[in-house]
Amino acid sequence: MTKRQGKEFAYFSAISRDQTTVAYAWFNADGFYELRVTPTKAGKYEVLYRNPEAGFVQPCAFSADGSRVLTLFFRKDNTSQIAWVEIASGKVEVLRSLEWVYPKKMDLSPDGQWIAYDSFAPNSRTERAIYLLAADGSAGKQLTTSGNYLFPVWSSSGKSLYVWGGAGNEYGLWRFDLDAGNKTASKVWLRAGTGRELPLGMSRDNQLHWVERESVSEVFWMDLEKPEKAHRATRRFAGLNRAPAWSEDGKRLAYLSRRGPENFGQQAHTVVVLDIETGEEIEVEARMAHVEELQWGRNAAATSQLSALGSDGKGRGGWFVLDLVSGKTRVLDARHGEAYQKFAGVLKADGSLLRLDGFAGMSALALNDNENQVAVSGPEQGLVLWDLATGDKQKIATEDFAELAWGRDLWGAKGDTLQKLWPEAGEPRRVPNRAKGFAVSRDGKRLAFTVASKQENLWRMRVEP
Amino acid sequence: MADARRAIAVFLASCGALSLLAIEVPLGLDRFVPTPAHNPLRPAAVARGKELFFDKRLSRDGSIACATCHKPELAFSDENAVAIGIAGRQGNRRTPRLANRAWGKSFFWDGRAKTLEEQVIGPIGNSLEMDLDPTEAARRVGLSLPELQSALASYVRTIFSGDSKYDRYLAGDAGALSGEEKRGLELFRGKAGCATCHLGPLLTDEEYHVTGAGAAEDAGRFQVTQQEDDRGAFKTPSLRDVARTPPYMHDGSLANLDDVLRFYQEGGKARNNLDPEMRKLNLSEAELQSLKAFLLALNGRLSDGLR
Repeated sequence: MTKRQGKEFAYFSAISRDQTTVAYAWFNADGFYELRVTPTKAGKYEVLYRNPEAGFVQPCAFSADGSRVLTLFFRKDNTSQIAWVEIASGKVEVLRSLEWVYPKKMDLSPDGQWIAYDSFAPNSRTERAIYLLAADGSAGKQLTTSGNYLFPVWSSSGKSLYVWGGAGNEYGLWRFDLDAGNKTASKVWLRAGTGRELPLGMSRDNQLHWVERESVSEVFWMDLEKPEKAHRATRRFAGLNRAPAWSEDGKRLAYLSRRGPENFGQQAHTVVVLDIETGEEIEVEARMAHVEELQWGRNAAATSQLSALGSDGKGRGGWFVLDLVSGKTRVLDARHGEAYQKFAGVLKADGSLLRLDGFAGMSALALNDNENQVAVSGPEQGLVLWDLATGDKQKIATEDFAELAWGRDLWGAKGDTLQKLWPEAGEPRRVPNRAKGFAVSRDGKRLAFTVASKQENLWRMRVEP
Repeated sequence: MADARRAIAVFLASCGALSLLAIEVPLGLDRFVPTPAHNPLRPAAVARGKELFFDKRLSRDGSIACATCHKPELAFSDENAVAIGIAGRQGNRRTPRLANRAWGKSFFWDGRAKTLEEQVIGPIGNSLEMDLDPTEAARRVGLSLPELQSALASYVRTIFSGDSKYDRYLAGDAGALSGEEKRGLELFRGKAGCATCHLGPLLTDEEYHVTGAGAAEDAGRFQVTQQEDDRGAFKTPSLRDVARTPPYMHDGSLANLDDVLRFYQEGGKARNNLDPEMRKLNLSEAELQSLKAFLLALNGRLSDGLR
């Protein structure tokens, strides 16, 4: 029904109950999402809501009478909001603001009276609870008061709400029987879960559809002199580990590890620091909304501080310094309303950032130990060494490398090979298929990387006759 | 701590019994107004609460009412640096504004009250303010203590401020803010970093921070938590109607908005546990003026009680 147009594309959608209209989010040429509606017969679309201040919109459902679209807004000031958007006028009524956390799933009851959604439980930044909100905003209830529950989906009768979650080891699919927003019976356990289910919705014949993620991601390290032996960084929390970073002395390896159910989006991360020589691990819960990458600081406080690229709970994207003792963060280089991806780069010893966006058209960047030379790689330029003092450039390879890592020597990764590139070129070495996120220790002795595979299965289950 | 968490969870779980009162909520605020199950908004309670808010019998000597310090014409605050109680008794903290407290998570500068029902009798019993045993206050007006709490809290829940130029801008009216106010907004969110704590519809994170403002003797949030990190921490106030309510900070120690901007420009005042977000801002004079222009755009339409 829609076609990608350059940078513009459609994203979330909801279909009206009479199946005549689709509401969808459209990423527009100005770089934010607008809310559109279009007939299902793919006639002319209409822009219903376009406001850069609420630059992320997610239509979730049509009202029972088809006159309004239940929509999730995410505002520039980092506030997510549950709102109705009137189709005739585009008028917005905000029902509830939810700080920076957005619901993983929001579903309107078949009678149009209640909105079910998940959000953080009171006083928690990791566990979620299920909430009910009257569609006219006149009432609100918290359905679950302990444990971690998310992804509510109504049955087609509207008498039951299906949610994933649980407390302790009792994770799975549950049914809550409700009448006028009140529980009519104890919750019913239906099926064990892995914590990696993403519900899609309920069909009219009461079949619950969901995706179960089976993707795995593991961190490995090896001595570069003994490439035949790769060590798995941890046997714990198998399949949930990524983004390794070496400490300045190459003796400790930090990586990200997921805990608890997968949230498919904003995700609490545990930072694990592994002592390579003793095998001892410490864990720190990063107080951030999302962590994408780690780099070890190189200043005097480097032993207790890591730098993390991601976003915090204050709506800032960029680099943050993470205190390994307290878990507290402070801003290193971040801005409100900015995507953290814009801050991709390499941290220098003085804590400043050498950013990739300073090297137009480049795909990878690495800085040498003296910080006087940078290697950049791109599809058009190949591999170039750049003297930061003089600005002189030296092309050392015509090919582009997906990743660069500079320990004592410069290494480049491409496909399933890793190769020493500078000062002397070495023979390409085979690395495991799907390896990425290469990190070479400063002393040039050790290599770490992530190996990830992607697997998602579609499931359905009839939950009511 | 676990008990406290459970108590909060139980309270929040009981929030939001169906409102019996159709409330007009101004632009910029949520349609959903949280209320505890045991005290849903009822017209009679709101009306009674408003009468009580202006009733001087709630003070020991009958000289002051809630509204004496929370003046509607001053955004439900007053002009004094610190609260002035009966017989001119002087407190040590500024009278907070009351608008939009229905969505508050905790109350008082140090957050010692978890509900509005708990908060509203605090000043009545405070010896430096109204200095009257709350039970006696309730008896004087012919109510039980829970009835007094319910009525006052119901009324306070209906005090709103919204529909400011900023709200209209957020709602999509690009012309609602002038060029200078928009530059101020950019600074507010960017270089000045104000939006780190002053965010969302309430323009506060409802959290506690050490900015170094005020006298070091006031331990602030520490008095509630006994956590050393909280010594000198105070709750982030909302910035709605901020231009209407000088003086500023928890102790009214800064006379006007220019003083406040200069305070933050310098990175606050040194404390051992100064919030890591506090830093010198290096704003130019023109930038400070733009920021001030934006703060002036936060004046909203105030409303209270039944409509």
